[in-house]
Amino acid sequence: MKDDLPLTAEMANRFPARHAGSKADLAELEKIWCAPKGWQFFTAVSNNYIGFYYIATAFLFFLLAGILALLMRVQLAAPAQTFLSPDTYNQVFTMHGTVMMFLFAVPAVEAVGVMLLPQMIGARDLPFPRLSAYAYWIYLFGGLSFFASIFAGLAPDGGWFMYPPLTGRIYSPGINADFWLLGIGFIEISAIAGAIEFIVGIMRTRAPGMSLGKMPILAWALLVMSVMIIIGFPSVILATLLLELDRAFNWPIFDATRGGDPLLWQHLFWFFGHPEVYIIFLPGAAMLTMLISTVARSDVIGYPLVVLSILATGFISFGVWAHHMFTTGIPDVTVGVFSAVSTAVTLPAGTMVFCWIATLAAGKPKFNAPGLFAIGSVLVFVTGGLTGVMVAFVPFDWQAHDSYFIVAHLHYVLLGGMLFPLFGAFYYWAPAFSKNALSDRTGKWVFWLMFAGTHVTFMPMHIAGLMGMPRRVYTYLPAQQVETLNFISTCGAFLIAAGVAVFIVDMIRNFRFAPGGGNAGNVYGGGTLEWLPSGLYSTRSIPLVTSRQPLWEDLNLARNVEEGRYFLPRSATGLRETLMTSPVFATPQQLLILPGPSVWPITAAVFTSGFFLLLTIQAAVLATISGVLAIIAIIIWLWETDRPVALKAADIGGGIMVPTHVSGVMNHGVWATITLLFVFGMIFAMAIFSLFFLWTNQPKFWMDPPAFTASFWVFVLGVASLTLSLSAKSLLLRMQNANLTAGALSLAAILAIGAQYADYTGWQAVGLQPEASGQGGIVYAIMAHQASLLLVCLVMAAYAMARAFAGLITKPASVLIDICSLILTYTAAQGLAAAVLTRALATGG
Amino acid sequence: MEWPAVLSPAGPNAAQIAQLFWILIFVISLVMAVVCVGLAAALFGSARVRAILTDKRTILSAGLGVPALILTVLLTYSLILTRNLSSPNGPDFMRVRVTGEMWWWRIAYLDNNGNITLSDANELHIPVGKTVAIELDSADVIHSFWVPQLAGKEDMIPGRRNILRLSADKAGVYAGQCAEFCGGPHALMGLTVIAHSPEAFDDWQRGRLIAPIAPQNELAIKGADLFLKSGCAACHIVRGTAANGQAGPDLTFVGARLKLGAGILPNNRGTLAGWVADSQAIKPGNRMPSYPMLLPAELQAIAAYLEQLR
Amino acid sequence: MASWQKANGVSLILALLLIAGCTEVSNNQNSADDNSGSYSGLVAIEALGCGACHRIPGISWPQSDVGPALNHYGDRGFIAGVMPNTAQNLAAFIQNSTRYIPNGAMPPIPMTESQAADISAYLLSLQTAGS
Repeated sequence: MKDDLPLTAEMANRFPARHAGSKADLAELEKIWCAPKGWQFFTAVSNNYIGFYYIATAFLFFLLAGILALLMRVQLAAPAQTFLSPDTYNQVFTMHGTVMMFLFAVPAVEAVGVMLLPQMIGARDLPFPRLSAYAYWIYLFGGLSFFASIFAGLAPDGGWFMYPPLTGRIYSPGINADFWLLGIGFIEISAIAGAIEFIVGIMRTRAPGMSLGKMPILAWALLVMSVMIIIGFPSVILATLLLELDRAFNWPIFDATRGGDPLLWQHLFWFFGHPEVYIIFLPGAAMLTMLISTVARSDVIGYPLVVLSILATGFISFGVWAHHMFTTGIPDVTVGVFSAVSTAVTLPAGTMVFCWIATLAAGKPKFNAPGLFAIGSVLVFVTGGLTGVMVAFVPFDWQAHDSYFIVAHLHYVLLGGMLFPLFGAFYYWAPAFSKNALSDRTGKWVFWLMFAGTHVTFMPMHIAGLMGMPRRVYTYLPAQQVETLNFISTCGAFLIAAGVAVFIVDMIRNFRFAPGGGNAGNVYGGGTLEWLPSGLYSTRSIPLVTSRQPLWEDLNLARNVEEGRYFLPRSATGLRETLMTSPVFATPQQLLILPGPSVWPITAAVFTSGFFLLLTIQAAVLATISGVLAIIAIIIWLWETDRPVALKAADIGGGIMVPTHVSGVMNHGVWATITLLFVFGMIFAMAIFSLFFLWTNQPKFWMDPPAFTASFWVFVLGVASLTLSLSAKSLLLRMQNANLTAGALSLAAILAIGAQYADYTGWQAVGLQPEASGQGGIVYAIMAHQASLLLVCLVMAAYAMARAFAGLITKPASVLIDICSLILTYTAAQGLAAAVLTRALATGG
Repeated sequence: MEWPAVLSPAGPNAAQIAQLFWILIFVISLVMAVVCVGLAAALFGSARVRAILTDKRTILSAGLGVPALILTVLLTYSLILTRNLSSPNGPDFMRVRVTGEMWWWRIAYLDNNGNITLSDANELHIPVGKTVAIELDSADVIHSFWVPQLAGKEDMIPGRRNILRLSADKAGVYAGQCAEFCGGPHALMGLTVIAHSPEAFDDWQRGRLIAPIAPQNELAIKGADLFLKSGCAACHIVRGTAANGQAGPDLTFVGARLKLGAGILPNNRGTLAGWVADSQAIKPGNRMPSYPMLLPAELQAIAAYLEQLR
Repeated sequence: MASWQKANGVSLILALLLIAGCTEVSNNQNSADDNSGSYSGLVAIEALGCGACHRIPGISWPQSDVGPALNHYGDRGFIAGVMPNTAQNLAAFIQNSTRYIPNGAMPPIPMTESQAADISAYLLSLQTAGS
C-alpha cells in the first residue's frame, strides 16, 4: 500500500462489518486508555486531558491579560491620571500584548487543535501524545512564571514588539527585557512542538477515506497554521537569541554605532509577527466556518474556495511584513510592493466572507449562541479588515501608523477573527466535553455584551487616532481633547469584561468536564466526526469516511461506529494505537502505537522551564544543571517510547492487515524530524539573511573574512562528516552491524565538531571578535547556533551508541539510525553552508 | 471637540492624505454596506435571493473580482501619491535637522551645505508655503516625528537618516508628538511646529541669529549667575554665555517658547520655576533632575533669568 | 463629589475604579454647569500651568509639591499668612506674590486682570462644606 491511492471499492464494501465488536474488546480498550488516577493525573498524555488543560490555561491567560487591559482603560479613562505610574503602565501594555498574543491566542488555537483535531479526523490521539504533554507543561510553567514577573515589577516594558535599541543593554539594563526574550522561549518551543504534532497528525492519522478534500475546514486551517509556525517562528527565535546575545554579551548586532542595525530586528520580528496574526486568524476563521455550517445545517458552500483562501492567506502573509515598517524610510519600491501584497491579502478574506454568507443563505440559520457569535464575528472581522485595507495604502498608513487608529483596527480583526469564533466554539463544542451543555440563553447575553462592548471600546479609538493620539502612551493631556473618546472606550472595555464574567458564571454553573463519555453530546447537530459517541479511547471503531459531513450523510454511522463495525474495533497489540493513513487519500498504511502516561514529559518540562528562568535571573550554574536534567529526562522518555513490538502486522478490521512498524520516509518519527530540521533550516536562513542585511547596510564596519584557501580543514572535515552521516543508513543495511553504524555516526559528529573548531580558529586568526561589530556578532551567532546543533548531535550519537550496546537497534533498518543520520547530515551541511556564506561576503563585494 | 487633526490638514502633504482618507472611507463604507445587506439577505431573504447568494459566481465576483478591481484602482492612486509625497518638490526648500532624544527634540536649522545656522529645541519654526526638508536623526532609541496636521509620521532611527518633506499653507501653531514608543515618559514627548508668514519668518530668523541681550535687571543677573553655579550649564547651552552643555535642550531662547518640557506645559515665569524645582513631578522619568535644594530666592532668580531669554 | 474623587486612589475594586474615573471626568463638566466663574478659573489655571508648583482640585496635570497644595483654599483665613483671604487680595497676590513676601519662591506671573479674578474666585470656592 505504498502508493497513495483511494481504498478499493472491494475493501470499502467490507464496512460497516456484519459482526459487531465484542464487549471484551471494548473493556480492553477502556482499560488501555484509562487515565492515570489520583496524584498521577499529571502524567496523563492523552489529548482529552492535555487539550482540556491547555484550553483552560489559555483562558486563564486571556483573563489575566484582560485584567491588564482593564487597568490600562482605567488609567486612560481621564486625562493625566496617576492610577498607574508610567513605568507600571509600560509594563502593563507590554504584558497585555505579549500575553494575549503568545500566552493566549497562539496556545488557544493550538489547544483547540489538541482537543478537537484527533476526534475530528477520526484518530485515537495525536501522533506524539508525550510531546503534547511536554509542550503543555512547559507552556504552563513558563507562562505562569513569565506572568509573575509583573508582580515583582520586573515585567518587560519595551512593548510586545521589543524594538532595540530601547530594549538593548544600554536603555533597558534591568532583567525585564530578558524575561521577554527568554519567557517567549517557552512558547516558541511549545508552538513548534504543536505544529509538528498537527502536521504529522493531519497528514498521517486521518480516518480511512478522509481524503484531503473531505477534511473538516479546521483541519485545513490547523495544517496551514502549523506550516506557518514552522516558517515564521524560527525568525523570532533567531531574533530573540540575537537580542539576548546583544544584551548578555554585548554583541552589537542591533547597535548602529558599531555596525549593527536596529532595523534588522524589525525585519526579523515582523517576518514572524505578521504571519502570527494569520496563525491566530486562520483557525479562528475555520472554527467560524464550521459553526456557520452547523448553524445553517448546510455543508460549506464553496468548500474548495475556502480551502484555497486559507492556503492563499497563509502564503501571502509572508509577503506583507514590511507594512509594519512603512514609516521607517524603507525605499519607495519596497514600500509599493508590500503595499500591493497587503491589499491582495484581503482578496482571500473577501472570498471567505462571501462563502460564509452563501453557506448561511443555503440553509436555515438558527439564532442560537454559536449562530450569534458566528454572525457577530463576520461583522466585527469585516470592519477590522476594511480598516486594514485603509492602512495598506501607504500614505494613509503614514498618518495612522502607531496611532490609536491601529489599536482599533487590530482589535477588530483579532476579536472578530479569533475571539468571537473562539467563544462561539466554546458554546458549540462544550457539549462534547461536558456533562451539560452551556446555557444557550446565557450565551446570547455573553454575545450581546461582548458585541456591544467591542464597538463601544474600539470604534472611538479610530477617531482618537485621527486626532493624533499615539499608541502606547500612559496618559494624555487635557489639551489633546481626547478624554471623552477615551472615557467611552473605557466603558466599552467594562462591557466586554461583563460579557466575559457572564460567560464564566455560565461555565461554573454548567461545565462539568466529562472526558470518558457521558457528555451532553451533539446538542447543535454537527455533522463531523468529533460528534460520534466517544470515550477516552475516542470512538469505539474508526469510521470509513465518505463525505465531509459523515454524520449528516449516514444516519447509522454513529450506531455502527459504536458497535465496532469499522476500523480498529479492538487493540491489536494491547497498547494504545491509532491508524496511520496515506497523506492524500487516507488509505490505511500502518498501525501506529502510541505511548501512554509518563512522568518524564512533565519532568522534562519542569527542567526546561527551570533552564530558561534560571538563565533569566542570571543563575548560570543552576541553569546548566537544570538544562542537563531536562536532557536526561528527555532521553529516558525516548528510551521508553522507542520499543519494538513482537507483532509484525495486525488486522485492523475487515481482514485488512497493516504492519505495526515501518522505517524510512513513511515513518512518523522521520516526518517529525524532517519538520524539525525545516525549523532549524529556517533559523539558519534567517541568520544568513541577517548577515546579508548587515553586510549591505553597514559596509564600512565590515572586515575581510578568512580566505577560502586558509580554510582547508573546515571543508575537509565538514565534507567527511557529511559523507559519513549520509552513509549511515546503507552501512546498517549492508554490514548489519549496529555498533559499527552508531560508531560511524559518533565519528561524524566528532568530525563536524572539528570542522566547527577550524572555522572558529579561522575567524580568530583574522582578528574578528563578536563584540567588535555587527559582522562579528552575527558571524559568531551563526557559529553559536551551529555549536548548539552539534551538542544535539553529540547527545544523539551517544544515545545511538547506548542503544546499539543494549542491542535495541533494529536491523536491517532502524528509525533511530534514520533520524540520527538525518540530523547529522543536516548539521554537517549547515556547517559547510555557514562557512561558505560567511566567507563569501567580503568587503570588495 | 475639534475636527480630528488628520482631517483638518494645514499643508499639502496632509491634505492629500486627508483626501485619500475620504476616498477610502467612502469605499469601505460601501463595501461594509454590501456585506451587511448580503448577510441580512442570507438570513432573512426570499428563497430566490438566497439562491443567488449561494451561486459560485456571486461568491467569486463579490468576494474576489469586484474587490480586486477596486483595490487595483485605489492602489494605483495610492502608489502615485506615495511617490509624490516622498520625492523632492523642486530645488527651493529649507533644510532642518530634528534629532529625537529621550524625551525631547533637538532642532538645527541648516544652510544649503548642511551647516548648522541655528540651534533650538522642541519648537520648529517654518515659513508658510515653503517646502521644509526635515532630516530625522536619533540620538538614542527610535522615535517618530508626527505632526498630523502637516504630514504623516516618519521614524527617527539610530544610524539612519530619513527625510520628511512637508510644508504649511497657513500660518498657525501645530501640535505634534513622538509616535514610536521610546520608553519612560514617551507619552509626554510633545512638539510644536509654528508656521509663520514668509515675512514674519524672516523677522523671526533675524532675531534668532543674534545672541539674546544680556540680562538687564538685578534679579535676572543674579539668575544668570546661579544658572552657571547650580549646574544647569552642565547640560544646557545659552549662546553668548559660558553655559555650553550639550546633553539637554538649547535654552538660548527658552523664554520665547510657547511650551515647556517638550511641548507640554505653558511657558511663563511660574511654570519655569515649577519645572526647575520639580520637573520629575511634571514629567516623571525625564532626564532632568528636580532641584528642590534651590532657595526660594534662587528659584525666583533663575526663573526670571530664563523668562527673559527671548 | 470631591470625596468620590479622592477615593480614586484607594478604590481597589475595578468597578469602583470605573465609577471613580467617571466622577473625575464629570467633575470638570459639573463645574462648568454649576458655576461658570469657577470654570473659567480652572481654564485660566490650566492655561498658566499653576499645577507646575501646586496641587489644585480639578487639575489632573501637572501636580507638583513645589508650593503648597491648594485644596480647601476657601477655608483659609490668611493668604500665605500675611493678609486676609479675600477675593481681591488673592487676585493681587497671585499676580505678584513677591510684593507681599519678598523672599518667597513664587515668581510674579503675568496674567490678565480677569484671569486673576477668575482664579481667585475658583480658589475661594474650594471649601470643605458643600464641596
